[in-house]
Amino acid sequence: MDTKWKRSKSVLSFIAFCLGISLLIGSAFSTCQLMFSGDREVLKGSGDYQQSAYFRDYVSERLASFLGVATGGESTKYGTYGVGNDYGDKPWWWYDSDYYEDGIGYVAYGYDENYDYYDEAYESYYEESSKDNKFDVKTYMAEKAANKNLRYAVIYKGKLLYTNIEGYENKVGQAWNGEDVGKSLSEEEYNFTLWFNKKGDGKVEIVKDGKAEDVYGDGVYTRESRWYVPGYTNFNADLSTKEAVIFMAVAKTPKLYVAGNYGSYGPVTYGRILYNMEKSFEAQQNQFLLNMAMIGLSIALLIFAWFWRKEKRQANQYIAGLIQKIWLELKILILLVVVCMSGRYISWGNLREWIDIIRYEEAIYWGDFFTYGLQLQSISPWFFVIVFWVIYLVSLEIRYNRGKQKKLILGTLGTKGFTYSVQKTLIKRYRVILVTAGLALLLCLLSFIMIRDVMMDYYGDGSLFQWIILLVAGILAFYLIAGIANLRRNRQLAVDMGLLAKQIVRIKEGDLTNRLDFPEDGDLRQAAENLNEIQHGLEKALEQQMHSERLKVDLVTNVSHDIKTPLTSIISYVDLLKQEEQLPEHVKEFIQILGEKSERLRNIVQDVFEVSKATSGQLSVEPETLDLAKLLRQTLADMNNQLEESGLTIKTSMPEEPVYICADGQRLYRVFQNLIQNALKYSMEGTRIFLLIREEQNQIAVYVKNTSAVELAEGVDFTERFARGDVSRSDGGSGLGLSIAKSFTEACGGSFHIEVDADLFTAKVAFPTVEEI
Amino acid sequence: MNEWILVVDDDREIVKAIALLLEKEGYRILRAYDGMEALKILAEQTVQLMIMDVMMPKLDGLSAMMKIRERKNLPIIVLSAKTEETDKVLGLSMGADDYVSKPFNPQELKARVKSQLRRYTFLGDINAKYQTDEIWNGRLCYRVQERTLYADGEPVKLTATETKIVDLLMRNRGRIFPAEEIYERVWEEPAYAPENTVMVHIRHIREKIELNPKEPEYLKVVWGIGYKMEKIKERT
Repeated sequence: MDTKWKRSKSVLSFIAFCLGISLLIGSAFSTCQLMFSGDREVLKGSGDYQQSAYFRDYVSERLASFLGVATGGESTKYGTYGVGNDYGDKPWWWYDSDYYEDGIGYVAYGYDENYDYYDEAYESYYEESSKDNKFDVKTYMAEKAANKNLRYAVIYKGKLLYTNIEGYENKVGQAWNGEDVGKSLSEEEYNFTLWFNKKGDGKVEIVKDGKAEDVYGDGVYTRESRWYVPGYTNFNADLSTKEAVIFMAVAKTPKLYVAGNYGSYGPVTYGRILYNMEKSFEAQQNQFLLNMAMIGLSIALLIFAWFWRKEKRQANQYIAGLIQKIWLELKILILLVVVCMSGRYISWGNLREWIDIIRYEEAIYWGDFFTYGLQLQSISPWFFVIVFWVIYLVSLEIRYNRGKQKKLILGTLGTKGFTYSVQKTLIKRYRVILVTAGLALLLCLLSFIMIRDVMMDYYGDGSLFQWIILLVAGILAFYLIAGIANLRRNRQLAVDMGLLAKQIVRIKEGDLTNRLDFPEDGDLRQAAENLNEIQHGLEKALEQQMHSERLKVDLVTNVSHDIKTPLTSIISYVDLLKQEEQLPEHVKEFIQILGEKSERLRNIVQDVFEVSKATSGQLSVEPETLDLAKLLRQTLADMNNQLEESGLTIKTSMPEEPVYICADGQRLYRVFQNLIQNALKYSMEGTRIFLLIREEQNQIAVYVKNTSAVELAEGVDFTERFARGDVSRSDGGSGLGLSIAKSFTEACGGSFHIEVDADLFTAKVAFPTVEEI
Repeated sequence: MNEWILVVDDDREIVKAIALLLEKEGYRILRAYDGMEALKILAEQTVQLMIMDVMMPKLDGLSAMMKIRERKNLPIIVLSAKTEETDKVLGLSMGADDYVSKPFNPQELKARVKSQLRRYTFLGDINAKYQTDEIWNGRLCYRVQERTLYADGEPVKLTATETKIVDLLMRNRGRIFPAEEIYERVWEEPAYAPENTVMVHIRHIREKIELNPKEPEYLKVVWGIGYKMEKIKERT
């Protein structure tokens, strides 16, 4: 319950964070767009389109063109009257020559559906204007008249020249007596009126919603001045202009006016500039209000997320875990796409323009503004949201997944981590196929692009061939994805194979406890199970062997104990007998023999006990670094008496410098004592015993060589317990000497070998070399 | 003289043999055939030394020894048919003064009994006048000024060379000396193949100080390294 609540808390906090950030970025960017490419007026959130700079520009421009019409001034090349380049911060999407406003359309966001007429009209006009470089004012004004959003009256030298106000059209050409031509217009419908030079002072008077507007401010025209109209102290109307009186009234809610005009080139729309201006203003204003609401909401969400930030961190970790599972190459690809997209939008030039706009808030050269403004505007706010999340995910990846293993497609293809050649081969063979398919896919895509871009330019239409190639590419892509998925399964198989091979090595080395456990559906499950059974069998056999070995040791221990007790009595009483003095000589001789034999029995019991302990691995060994040559010299010195008694010569060949090995000195002494005793016992009289130390590959070997007095039986393992050179066992040894030597050597970590070459008997004891202490 | 010795073993023949052996030396013998019996005798009579088998019915040797050690300090020699090192260590750590494994050499047992008794009585009066120039090691005592070695309180007859070796080793108990070093220090000339010479002297010294020269307790060969005088820890 508690953990469930915790989990849902973390999910909720993350959703809040996610929504909050997305909304915040989206709205903030959208607001920025409004700020830099829309009208600042919308940022107030209230008001109408007539307060916007676009509207003022429109009115100024129209006033200028009417003045041009009135005074008979020259039209520009584009058919516009009056207005030059120094145009204030006229926005791009209202850029439009007068001529195209009404009639033939080139309005916001590029060409509209009347695009086809554009070229035609433009060209016809161009021809016309090149004839006398004068525009047909009548045609021009006729088009203006159709736009009922803007009512006007153009009066020159006291005569009404043009108007589209009802009731005055018939008075065109007549004298104007100073009456208010706009009085017939309802203030509800046309809430904006402008008079130029009504009082003959060459100034403009504007009344909006019944209130007079302050047009000139302090009377000096600057770039910041709101109205680009004559009448400033430094922006005067010339004398001929002062002959003109202009009246303009603008509709509160502009409408579209469509003229049927089916006789010539079909229906034509008029008044769309004001109409679009109003609609756009309203839309932007609504957008702004919406943005503000969204920002408020997002802040609330973020605060909510902040309160549960601990839980959010868990969500972060969970998401980081998810990202980790994605192939690194795919992640990089996504990142690249996003970066490329940003690169398209945010080039250095763009950035500089933006900075300029922000810094100077001034109009940039038309063309530039057009280009960069267009791009700024065309970025969806959602793009920024995507950019943010990509950065966020990358930061999560860096923060939580830094130390973790990367998941690579290339890693899937690599043979890293595999030791056995069978594994590598498995991967490599499959890899060739996948790489080929990948290259083929790449080739298909490239040829698809080439055919589309190049061929289509020439032949106009996409050929069937192109689609066939795309189909092939699709099949290849599908094949590749399936192949990669299969490769992962193959890798698992390779890993399992490696485990199996390793397990075999382990069993070989004697590890019988660790079992292989493959999943139910593993391809090698059956093999692993079989191997486990073999291992189990071996373990059982070994256990049994150990058990019987232990039994044997126990038996030997018990038996030797049981022998020792009566032996103690025998030895004790033989000793007492020895001290009797009145016994006859021959009895004394018997007692002597009894003494010797009981002593030998004692030795045999001791040897049997030790050998059984050593062979069952229960012998305690205390290894230390010691000098093997010294040990041999000590042994020889210790056995000096025996050597002298035997009449045999010992030839030694040992290095003067120390020969270090690691072994238990006490045990090793027994080994060489036994070997030398053995040599003394079985050597032919008058022969020599050789004792040599040789440094061989990574090991030090001691050879004890002697010439046997009797012929050595072939194929006898002399280290077997109770084995003898002469099969009859008539000599005095216990038969355990070599057995003890061998088992003690092995207990110390050395190796023991016997070689027989005719009568030459060689015992070899070898130990690994040890670096000096 | 005529110390009382208690012999305990469940094998009557062995007890009898030991008794005969020791009676010849003039000791008086008490016999017991299990641990309980031994405890009973000890409670009734003053005994100077005890020889006891480990594996016995009713109360085994080690348990009996623990009981005895609660109040008595007499020397105890443990007999055992077990020859494992661990058994020996266990016996000695539980309060035995000596350990003889079966089947034993009667002469060795005799020597050990003598040694224990001599030490027991000798230690009693020597402790008072413990001298600073004495080096003690188990049953050995080396008087530096006299340059004399005592075993169980009796001086050991050593040759001049043997005394030099004993002097070196007793002063440095526990330290391992390579044959070369012993040779150079004792003979005071460069060593050439000293192993045999040193070994001969070591063997001779052993025969004089060890109870069983074949299984020396004091003068030991460290195989492959050198020779040393084992540092024996005194039972407290």
